[in-house]
Amino acid sequence: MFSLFYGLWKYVFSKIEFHVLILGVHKAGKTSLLEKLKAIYLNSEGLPPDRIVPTVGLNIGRIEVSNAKLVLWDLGGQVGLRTIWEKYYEEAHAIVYMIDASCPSSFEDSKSALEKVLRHDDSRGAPLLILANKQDLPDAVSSEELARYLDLKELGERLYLFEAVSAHDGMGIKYAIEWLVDAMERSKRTQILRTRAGASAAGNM
Amino acid sequence: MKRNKSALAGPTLLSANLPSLSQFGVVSAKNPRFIPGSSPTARRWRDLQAIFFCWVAVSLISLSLSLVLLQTLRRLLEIRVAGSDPRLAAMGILFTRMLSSIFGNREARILVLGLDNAGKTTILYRLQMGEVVSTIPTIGFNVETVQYNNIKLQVWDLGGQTSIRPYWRCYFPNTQAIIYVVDSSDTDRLMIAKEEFHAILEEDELKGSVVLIYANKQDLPGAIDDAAITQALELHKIKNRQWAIFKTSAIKGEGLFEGLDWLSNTLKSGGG
Ligand SMILES: Nc1nc2c(ncn2[C@@H]2O[C@H](COP(=O)(O)OP(=O)(O)OP(=O)(O)O)[C@@H](O)[C@H]2O)c(=O)[nH]1
Ligand SMILES: Nc1nc2c(ncn2[C@@H]2O[C@H](COP(=O)(O)OP(=O)(O)O)[C@@H](O)[C@H]2O)c(=O)[nH]1
Ligand SMILES: [Mg+2]
Ligand SMILES: [Mg+2]
Repeated sequence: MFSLFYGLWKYVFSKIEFHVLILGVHKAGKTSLLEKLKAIYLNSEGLPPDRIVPTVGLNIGRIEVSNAKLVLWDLGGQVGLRTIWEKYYEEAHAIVYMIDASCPSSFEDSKSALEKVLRHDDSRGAPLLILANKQDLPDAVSSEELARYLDLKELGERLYLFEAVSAHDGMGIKYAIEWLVDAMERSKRTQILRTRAGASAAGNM
Repeated sequence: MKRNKSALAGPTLLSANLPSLSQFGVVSAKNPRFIPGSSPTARRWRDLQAIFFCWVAVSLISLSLSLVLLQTLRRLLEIRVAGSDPRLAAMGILFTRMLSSIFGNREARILVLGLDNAGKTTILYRLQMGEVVSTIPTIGFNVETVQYNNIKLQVWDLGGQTSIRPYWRCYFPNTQAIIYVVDSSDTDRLMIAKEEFHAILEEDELKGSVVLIYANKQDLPGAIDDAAITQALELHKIKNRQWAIFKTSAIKGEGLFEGLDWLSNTLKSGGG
């Protein structure tokens, strides 16, 4: 009985925790973004770029953005490591997909990996933020150009945004992440995940 | 786990938010046994139990310590030095120094865990002195420790001895990291390695620690790679702490440094 009230109380009053999955092929700049976000929102130093190494596991960041709690999951993008991406879809409220905009030779790989993410059942309806990273480099393509190249067909009703950013100098990051928080708050998927979490809590009584 | 939590949440909430209930006699303060598990007597009893367990553990350890001494003597006769590598020796010292600077004066502990024969002891010796020591499989409850200032590296074998599990907790406090070592060529026992691994991650005292996995013995022909070990150990089930996996060969000294580098970076940038 009490756990029912407790669950209800928690449901109504606690801040929602959003799970954000950061994906993209290797060297796109996922971990750099994570560290930059930590630097911006936690006022911490974050790891300097030269200490960031290829990811072979899971990095986690916890930040608060406009009154919402975000848990950021950063996975490895090397081919052999992409197999575990899908294990995280089910619990993710949204997906950030990073692309190295200064490296056109990686676009094809990026496109097919992204299409695979979008086709998966467990990622259905998750708001999608596509970041054209490394804008500090002179030969980086714009977000419009990247969108044209990707020519995504499987977006459906999904909320999405293409945005040009730099994980090094921080350009565009705040705007993009605030859009994402807003999108997650509006998205149907958040409702569904919440109901499911509520149901499993009720199942535990 | 969740069941446990909600069961606890009930009485906690009751006493916190509705203290007036006891005035009405709904909850009798004079008869605390009405709330099993949360009464002072029960708590004291649990404390006593814990103290007893730890005491038994300590006496067991002092016993095994003398055994270890004997073993070490035997080992000393068996030591086969297959080339010492000054780079590795420097790395061990560098790593512990880095950790010292991260933790300041705080006590820090790193647990090196895995099934027997995974290569834990070899790795410990490798980090410490850069020598390959031929070891005999560790028997019973054998804890190997290396201490550097306030940093403790402790090695022990998992698997088999469920009866001594209660004593483990004596070693858990202040654990910042777990290094889990797997024999990548021993595919028959990967299932057990997986189960033991997830069991230890459930321990409350270890909830905040980051996890480094060594896919060891990569020099052997039958060894499977890091992606395959990731699948076999079901590492994707870890969602609330940071982890990383590295291919290593303790014999050749490969991969160990990369792993430790990740570990100190991660601990430095705030851990789990
Ligand atoms: N110039 C520039 N370089 C960047 C930027 N973001 C990342 N990099 C560099 O790109 C390289 C790869 O960055 P990571 O953050 O490790 O990439 P990742 O996506 O996490 O890679 P994996 O972990 O292997 O999947 C590093 O050398 C970064 O310094 C950026 O905005 N501008
Ligand atoms: N080929 C190979 N053998 C290893 C490696 N690491 C450890 N061993 C051997 O595996 C056996 C068990 O190692 P040990 O360190 O005692 O394992 P522990 O029980 O986990 O402490 C020993 O014979 C080691 O020489 C490795 O990377 N490659
Ligand atoms: Mg990375
Ligand atoms: Mg051993």
